[in-house]
Amino acid sequence: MSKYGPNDHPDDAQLVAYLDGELDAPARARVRSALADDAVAARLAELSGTNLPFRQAFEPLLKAAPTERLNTMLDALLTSPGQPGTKQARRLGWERRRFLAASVALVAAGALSDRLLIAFGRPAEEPDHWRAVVAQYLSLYTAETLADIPPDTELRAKELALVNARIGLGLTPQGVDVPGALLKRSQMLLYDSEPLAEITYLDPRSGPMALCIVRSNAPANPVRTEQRRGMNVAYWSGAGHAFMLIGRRPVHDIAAAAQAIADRLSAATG
Amino acid sequence: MASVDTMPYQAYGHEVGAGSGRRMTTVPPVSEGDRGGIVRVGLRGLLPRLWRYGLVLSGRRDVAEDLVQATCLRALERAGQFEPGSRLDRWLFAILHSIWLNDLRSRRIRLGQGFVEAETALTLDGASAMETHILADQVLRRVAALPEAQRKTVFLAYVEELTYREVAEVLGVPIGTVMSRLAAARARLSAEPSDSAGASVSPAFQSPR
Repeated sequence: MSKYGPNDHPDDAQLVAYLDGELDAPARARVRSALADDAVAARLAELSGTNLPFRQAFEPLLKAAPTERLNTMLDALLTSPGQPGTKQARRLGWERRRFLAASVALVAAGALSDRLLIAFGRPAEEPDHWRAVVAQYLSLYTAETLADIPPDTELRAKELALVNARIGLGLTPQGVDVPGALLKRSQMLLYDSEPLAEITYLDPRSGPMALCIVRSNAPANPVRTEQRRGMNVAYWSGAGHAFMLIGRRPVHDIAAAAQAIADRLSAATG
Repeated sequence: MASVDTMPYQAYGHEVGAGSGRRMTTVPPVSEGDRGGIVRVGLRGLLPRLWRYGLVLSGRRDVAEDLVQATCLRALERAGQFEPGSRLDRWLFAILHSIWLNDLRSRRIRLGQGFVEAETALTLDGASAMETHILADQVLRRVAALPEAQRKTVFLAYVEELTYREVAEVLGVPIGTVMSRLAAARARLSAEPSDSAGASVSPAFQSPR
C-alpha cells in the first residue's frame, strides 16, 4: 500500500477499501492520519454516502428466482443418462452449450422471449404457423452451428430415444435417415407449450437441415412443398402428428427424402 | 464487511425460496472425499443466488436460467476439482462468470445486437415494485445502470459480500482492479442526486472494461 507524504492524499480506491474494512492495520493507520486534512475527510464523508443498502435492495431478486424450474433442471441433470463427469456427459454438456449459444442467438434476434418457448400465434387458429416459426428458427443455423458435433452413433440413438418418449413415435436413426446428410442432433423444443421434436442434419453441400415434428389433430395429408425464408420445406401429417423437413437442397430432393421418411414411419407404426 | 457464516459445504440438501415446502430433502453428511457429492448436494440450495448473479451479468431472466443450467452442468463435470472445505458458492460464481464471458457474452457481441438494458430485467414488476421500500428500489436501479465491469464487482462485494480477494478470484482480475472498480462505482453513485426518479443516464451495458 502506498505511503502518504505530507502532500499525498489517499486516493478513492484507498478510501473505499478503508470503508470496506479491507485495509491492513498499517494502511488503516495511514488513512486515519491523512484524515487530518479536511479535503480527505470531506471525500471520505462523500464516499461513505454510498454505503447504500445493497444487500437489502437485491433481496427481492432471490424471491423472484424461478426456483421450481431451476430445481427441475437440476433434477434432470442429476438423473440424466450418463453420470456427469463421464465422457458421454461431457458430450451431452457440450451439445447443451451449443444449443445455449443458438438460443442466445435467437434471443438476440428477438425471435424468442424464452429460451425454449416459441410462442407465436395459436396452433388451433393457424395450423401452418408452426412451420413459419420453425423456418425462422432454422434460418439462424449455419453449418458452423453443427459442424463441430463429433460423430457418435450411440449418442444419436439415445437422443432419439428421448425424443420418442416425448413425441410418442418410434423414430430410429435409420427411419429418419436423409441420404447424403449426417444426422447431427435430436432434441425437444417447445412450441406454444407443446413438445416439438427437432432432428438436425448437416448436408455437406447445402448446410443444415431439420426434420421437425409436433403432435397434431390435422387429418392425414400427403407430402406437399413450400418455400420459407429461402429454404425448401416438405410437410405432411398423419397418425396424430404433423411433420416438416426443411433445408436448402433443391425442392424435389427434399420432397423425396420426406416421402421416404413418411413411408418408413407409416410402415413402422402400421 | 462481515462474511456470511456458513459451513464450507452443505451437508444437508435443503431448498430455499418460494415453494420450498414441496421439496425439502435431507441427505446424510457426505465424506470430505466425496467431492461430487458435496457439489451435487450443495448446488440445490444455491440455485436462486446463482440465478440472481446471472441476472446481474446478463440483464435477462431467461439468459440467467441458461447460465445457471450451464453452470450446474460444468460444476458437476468438474466436481473433482472442488476443494472440500472451500466455499462452494464462490467456486460456482467463478464458473458462472467464466461461462458468461467465454460462451455467451462473446457470442452476443458477434451477433452485433448489442445488449439489452439491464434495467428492464433488474427492476421488479409493477405490483411488487410499489410495495418495495423506495430507497431499496432506487438502489437496484442505480446499480443496474452501472457499466458491466462495475456492476458485477459491486454485486459480488456489496450484495454477496465477498472479500476483495474473493471478488478478484471470481472475476479473474487483480485486487487493484477490484478496488478501482468499486471506487469508480461509488464515485458514480455519489454523483447522482439521491432523489432522482430512477432515471438511468447511461445504457445498462457498455463495452467490456
